[in-house]
Formats: sequence, C-alpha cells, structure tokens
Amino acid sequence: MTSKPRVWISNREPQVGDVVTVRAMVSHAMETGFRKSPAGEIIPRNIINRFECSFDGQTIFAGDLDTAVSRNPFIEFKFKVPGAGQLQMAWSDDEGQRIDAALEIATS
Amino acid sequence: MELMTRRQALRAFVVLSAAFVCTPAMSRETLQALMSDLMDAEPAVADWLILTAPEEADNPSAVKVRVQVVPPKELGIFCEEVLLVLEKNPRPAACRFTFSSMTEPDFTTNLRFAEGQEVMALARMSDGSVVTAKAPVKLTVGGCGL
Repeated sequence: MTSKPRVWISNREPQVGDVVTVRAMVSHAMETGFRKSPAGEIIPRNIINRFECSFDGQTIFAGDLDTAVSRNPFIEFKFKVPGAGQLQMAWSDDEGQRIDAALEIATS
Repeated sequence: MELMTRRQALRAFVVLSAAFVCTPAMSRETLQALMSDLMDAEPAVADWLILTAPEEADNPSAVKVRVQVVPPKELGIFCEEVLLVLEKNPRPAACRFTFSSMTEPDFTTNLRFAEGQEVMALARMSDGSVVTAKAPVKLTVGGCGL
C-alpha cells in the first residue's frame, strides 16, 4: 500500500550555504505486527525501517525507524545547501520494497 | 523457522545496503540494542538538547515530536545521532536519525504512543558523550481537543 511520496522544500532556489527545510511523507501502513486479523491471525509486520536522504549521491541524513513511528511516516529535517544538485530520498520497508523521490535544487 | 528466514533476509538486506551508504542501516534488533547502549552511558540532562512534544495530544497514533541539538559553540562538539524512546511502548526504541556535516541536527517526526508517557531523546555527540531530554505527553480521551 504505497503511493508517490510527497516532498516539500522551503526554498527551491536557495543561495549557497542557506539552510532549507525539507518535509517528506510517504503513504505506508506501517503494519506493526502486533495486530490480529478478524480470523485471529497475526498480521505480519511490515514497516518502513529505513529512510535515507542524499545530495548528489552523498548520504546527508538517514533514519532507522521502528514500529513506534506513525503510519504514513512524516520526516522533517534541515540541511545546508552546498550548491546546485539533486536531493534524493529513499524509503525501504520490511518486504524489500523501495520508494524513491528526487528533487532538483538550483542555486540563485 | 519462518522467523529465522525473515531475520536472515533482513540481515542480508542490511549488509547489502551497508555497502552503499556511509551510515549503515541497522536491523531493528540492533536499534533496540542501541537504546540499552546509550542508556548504559548514563546520559546527562542537557538544556541544549531541545525536545518539543505536545503536552496534550488528541491523536495517539500520530504525535509530532521535534528534536533540536544546539550545543554551545565553546564545547566544539556536534551531534552524530539521535534516538527517540517511548518506554511504555511494546518496542521502546522508536527511531534513530544520523546527521552529517551538511545537516542541521533538527528534525520532526510523528510517533505512535501506546499510552500517555514521557518521550525521551538520547543524543550521541562527536566526543562520545550522550545527553538526554524528556518531555511528558498526555493523551486526551475522546480526542476532540476538550
């Protein structure tokens, strides 16, 4: 149960050295593995366990998530823009599914 | 038996992804172990580790928690990783974020609360010290903001 991630950035054309805020959200049930189906069987755990953000291939921010993170995980963070480039984000879940998003940043 | 294969698959995935990134992903068992690790370091309470959470939350399945790490400049240290802990949750270690020189140690995320409790942040600094901060969160019954 996934869809296109939603990514917001405070400034798409920042100056070099500016600090920008990024909000990233992806649709995912984040099934904890604690719940039972009506038939009484445990619904297997499937959560996004890793979020990675890189700038032109270099990892700048990463997170390991556990079951206590809400469904449709929302992550907001800040980084200093080193120059024009591409911000790449990747989410991966327990089933090995990977969701990618990218954002072009131009410097003014 | 099924659990074993799942764990093996997870481990293989972790090793694989570790080959490509500078901050290797951890299996979730390691995330829980990291929590005991940081707790064993007897973290000191620091007022420059700012943990912001609502005093009263009306939706326990999405409580917005913000962490900012702003150590005084004269200390000359920076933050390497932050772990958020909900001690009354079935799996207490909630999430862990790692930073680089390009990232400000300032993030916000939504957490699930099994019950009203204190959320705890543990931050490992570049000199190896661990600092902590806590914020109590009450859950309102009914959730209409009353």
